[in-house]
Amino acid sequence: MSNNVATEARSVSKVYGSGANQVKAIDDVSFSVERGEFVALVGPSGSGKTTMLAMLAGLLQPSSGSVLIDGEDLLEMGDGRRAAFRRRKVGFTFQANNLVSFLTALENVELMLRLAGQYDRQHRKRARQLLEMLGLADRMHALPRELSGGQQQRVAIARSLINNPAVVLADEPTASLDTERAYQVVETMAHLVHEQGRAGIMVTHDLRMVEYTDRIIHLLDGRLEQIVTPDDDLSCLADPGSCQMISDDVFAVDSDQVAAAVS
Amino acid sequence: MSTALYLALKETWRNRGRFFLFSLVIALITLLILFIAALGEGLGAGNREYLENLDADLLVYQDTADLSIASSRIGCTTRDALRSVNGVKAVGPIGFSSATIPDANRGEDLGVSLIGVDPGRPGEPPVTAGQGLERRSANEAIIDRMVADVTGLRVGDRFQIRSPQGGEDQLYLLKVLGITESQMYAIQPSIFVPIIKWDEIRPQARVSGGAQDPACNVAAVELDDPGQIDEMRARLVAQVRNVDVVNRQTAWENTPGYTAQQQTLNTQNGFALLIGLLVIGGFFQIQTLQKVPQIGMLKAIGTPNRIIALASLVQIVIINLLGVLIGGLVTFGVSLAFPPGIPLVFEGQAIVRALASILVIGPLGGLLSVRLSLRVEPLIALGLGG
Repeated sequence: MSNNVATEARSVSKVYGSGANQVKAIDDVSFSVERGEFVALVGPSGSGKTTMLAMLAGLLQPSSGSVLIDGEDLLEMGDGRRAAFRRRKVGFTFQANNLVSFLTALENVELMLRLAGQYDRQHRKRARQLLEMLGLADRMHALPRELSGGQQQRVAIARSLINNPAVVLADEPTASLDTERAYQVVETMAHLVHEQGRAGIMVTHDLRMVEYTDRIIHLLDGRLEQIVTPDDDLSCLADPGSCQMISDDVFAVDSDQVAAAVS
Repeated sequence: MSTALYLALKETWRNRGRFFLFSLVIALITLLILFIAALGEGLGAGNREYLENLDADLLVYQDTADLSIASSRIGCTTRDALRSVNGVKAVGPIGFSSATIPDANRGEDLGVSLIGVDPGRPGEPPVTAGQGLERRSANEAIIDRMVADVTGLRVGDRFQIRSPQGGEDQLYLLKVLGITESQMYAIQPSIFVPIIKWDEIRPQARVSGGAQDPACNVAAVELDDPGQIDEMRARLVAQVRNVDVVNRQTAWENTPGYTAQQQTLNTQNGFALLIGLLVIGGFFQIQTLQKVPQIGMLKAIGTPNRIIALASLVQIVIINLLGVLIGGLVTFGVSLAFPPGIPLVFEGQAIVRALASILVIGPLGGLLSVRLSLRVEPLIALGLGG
């Protein structure tokens, strides 16, 4: 595995139910994301995007395979250690209910510092700087209900980055935003991921947003359909039937091989 | 703890309107529970005060009376026999009946417990003003402070007392020799008269002049060594015929209706507490249900269960404390407006127990919501699970 790899999924499968009711939500998916790389996880509804994201975050246990963040296998951790690991290594942005409703924008970001035991002057200053960088200098003391959807998402981005995580995960961060705000949010996220050297993974069904990403991981019916770049022909993303299957062998190896396969 | 406290305080303050309203609900429950406790304490005290404060260690009943004061008769011979038992310091007769102090000015007669005692012997209450009884047959009385407050009688005043004799009401003139405190019996304030005078005044089928050594209801026994109460009880039963001997607590617990009354009020209090438990539990349960997505998000970003549970618990304790404080203050204010005749006593162990129980039911009721918050899956934040 390359030293630059922040997170890696190795032959990950997830099966729900058993016997005749068994459903394979994720089927032997492998890929890796490097530091400073912003990746989109796309696919139609039911393709397994969110399940994959949950496993990458350690919120869901794979049925088989493994997920590594900074070289550490999440499956080998107990619940408590995994939660602590998430606090340190994973930043999260959700589709909705992103913020604690009774905390201001600044307090929401600072909450991560409190949870990580880093609530000191230096880190609090960084929280303010992050919010200023995200254009929220004058909204720091506003409660979530006083913020627009776009502003709330930007606060969530600030919160996801405040602890310098290895991986930033975003679940449909633009789903409840109008187009202009959606572009702003994704552009900001991509910029910060690149600038700060994090690995960013964004689940989205909005293909317009992939232009800010470095790679696009396409899931279909729980399987890895293909990995492309925004410069490739993306027509098959909109019409999965026209996509050419990629050999599993390509993704069962390390990230360098993956990169070579998609280039 | 600090992050949990921070989250609890922030949420409470930023939603202070809602939480204050709920504190008022808890305050109303507190008011109800404290009033029931005060009523229980007041009625209990009204029944047992005299026996509780009695300057005697044991009470002697006729053995066939089944510890009923009204049915018990202890004659002179029995009292002498009690006195002769080794270890007995003093024996005093006590007679119980009711009478009325008529008052044209008040427009309302005052019912009192008329208690006959021997001057200077166990049974006579201590006075806080004036002096104790002097002669066994004098027209003199010690009155309870409540009688003095209601009638305006003072030491040295004379007053009439009414009692049915032979089918007609008779009036008796008594002089106030002294005033005593906290001596209610049968939920009535008491007046104490010499036992011979009591025998003359007490309601009878025929007019009586009062015997020289009348039978009383019970005998109060003071011991040389109060620490040997159990041994002395057994010794008295063994050496004196046809008697039943009990301590003061057993005596008041066997006054008419005392136990049934206290059980009724305790049951009411129990139901009020149960209702409180359900209301408080229900509120915090609904509150947690509304917060499930947020709790899921908090867990997803790595908030430990410990912090989420502690924050919930701290919040419940804060709201509960505020409600109990408001309820306590309102109860105190309302209690000041009640006239002295109403048997409400806002002091004593019953009130402390009631306050403690309300403080306990808050967190107890909230435990369900804490459990619910612990069971919220972080996957909820991603729209999975739940």
